[in-house]
Amino acid sequence: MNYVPGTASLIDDIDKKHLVLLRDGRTLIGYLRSIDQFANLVFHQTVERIHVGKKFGDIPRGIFIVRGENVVLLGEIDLDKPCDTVLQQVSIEEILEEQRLQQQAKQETEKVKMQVLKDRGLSIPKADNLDEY
Amino acid sequence: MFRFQSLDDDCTLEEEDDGLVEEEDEIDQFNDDTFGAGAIDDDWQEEHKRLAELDERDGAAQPEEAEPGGAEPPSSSAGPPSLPSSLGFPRLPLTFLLEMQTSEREGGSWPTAAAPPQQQRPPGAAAPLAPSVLSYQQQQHLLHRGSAPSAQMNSHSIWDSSLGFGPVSVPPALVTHMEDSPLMSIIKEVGLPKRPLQGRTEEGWDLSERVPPPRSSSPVIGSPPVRAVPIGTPPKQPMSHALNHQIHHPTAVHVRAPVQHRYPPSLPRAPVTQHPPQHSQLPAVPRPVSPRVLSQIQRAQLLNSRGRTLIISVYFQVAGFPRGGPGPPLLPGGGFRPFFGGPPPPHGHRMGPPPPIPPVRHNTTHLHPQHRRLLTQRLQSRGGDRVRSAGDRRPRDPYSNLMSQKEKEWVTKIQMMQLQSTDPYLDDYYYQNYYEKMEKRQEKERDSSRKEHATKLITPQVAKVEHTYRPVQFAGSLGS
Repeated sequence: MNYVPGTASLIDDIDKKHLVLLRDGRTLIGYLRSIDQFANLVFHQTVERIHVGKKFGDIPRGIFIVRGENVVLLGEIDLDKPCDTVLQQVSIEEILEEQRLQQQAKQETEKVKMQVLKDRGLSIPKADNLDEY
Repeated sequence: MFRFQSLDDDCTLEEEDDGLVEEEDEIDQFNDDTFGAGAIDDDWQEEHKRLAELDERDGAAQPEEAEPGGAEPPSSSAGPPSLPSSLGFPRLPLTFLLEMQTSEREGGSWPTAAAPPQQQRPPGAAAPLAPSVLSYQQQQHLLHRGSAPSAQMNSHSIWDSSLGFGPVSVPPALVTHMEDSPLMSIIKEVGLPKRPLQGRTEEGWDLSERVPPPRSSSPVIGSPPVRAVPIGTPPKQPMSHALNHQIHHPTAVHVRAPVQHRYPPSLPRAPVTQHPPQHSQLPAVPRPVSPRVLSQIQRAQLLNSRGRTLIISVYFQVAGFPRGGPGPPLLPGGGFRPFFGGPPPPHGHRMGPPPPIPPVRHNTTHLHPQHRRLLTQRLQSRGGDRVRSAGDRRPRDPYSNLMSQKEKEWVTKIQMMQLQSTDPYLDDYYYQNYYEKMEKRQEKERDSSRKEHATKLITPQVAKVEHTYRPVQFAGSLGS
């Protein structure tokens, strides 16, 4: 906070481990190395963490440059805090499989829902398409 | 005789005329500079009429001109509008295109037309042309006349002949008409394009007329300024510039003899040569040098791997002396040193007692950003060691401080600029109120316990007055 008192700035977050959630739903964890005025982020030793239920898997990604507009939220990870988590880490293949199943199930329910609404003459636009209009 | 009188009675007629004449000359000169010799002049209407007549006549005569030798009658019948003889020198490259078109139109045959057609041009058929260069329309008409073989031959010969420029005698037919034109001065200066061997066209055209005009002697207009330094070279970054220069322009330079390893503090630059066989030596050399230099070795290797045969061995002189001012423009802190072939001991000698890091930071602008980063990192880490915070148990992060202080300040500056406001109570009501409350609270507390003020965010205040735009107004103008 020594740079700009009374404000929130990413300057103080540099070189710290962060978790960032992107608009497409991805979760990235890495060391924040650089920022700019648009909150574009440069992540180092990035890991994409996929969560499905109680399981999670890490995919190492290296260096990421995230365009600022795609960030939903960003939070610092306190490395000193003890990591008491109920989540279970699994291999990448397993978690990808889990994710695929999850997506599939989701689509099924979505399809059924749309059909039901359609029968009743209603339609709910998909939220992810709203940005494009 | 009545002369044109200006409304301004102060100047005399003579002055006026002179002024006008001068202006015309200037204009002509500008014109020529811009468009080349042979730009449009007055009397184009007359020329046009003449050309139109020519055109009609040629339209009838065209089929006859198909054969190479039969160009005689039409040309002689051209008579008065024998503009070609007094044709100005070609002024536009368009003439080339037109020629090509005409030649193509005629079937694209490129016969080496006999010389006779060219010589048929009556030299004496000098039309009473204005002593000026023909207009573009004139030339076009002439070209469209067809004179197929001549056109073809002209273009053919033009492509064949070497378009050298040299002092060429102006064809006699033209001289009489060209005496005072500004073109003449240029021609005399620069010379005409060489006349091709085939001689003249049937209309007495000089083939040199078909050639683009010689460049006028005026400075080149419109061309980009000569850049000694490629665009995009960052200023005040002599090292990077030098590196860029070397990477993009790998010129052969000579290596200094390895003997000269005793380096006085400020040595002149020693260029480096291309030595493919030596390339292998670099990675294998273990040297007892300080880590600072080692990083330069790594960087040099990086650079070397980029160029195919170019070897840049950059060797920074880690200065034991403070460097207050900026280093020499193209040198990083010291000079280039031959990297290979030198025995370690001299290096070791110099690097022996590494100089203690001075409290004042040197001017590092000339250093490579990576080098600078490492320096600052070391500085900060040493500074951090002294003031070890409670939570700082992490090992030193080699990738930290990728963002320099300047960059952080720059981003902060931008963010602060975005906070500018003319009326903070309007734009940032809650913060202002909150801060006021906090201050009041602190006042109360201070009375009891003397606490420090919390830092307040001071947003840049934009003066209200300066931002109203007033368009420039002139006295007596419309709308004032």
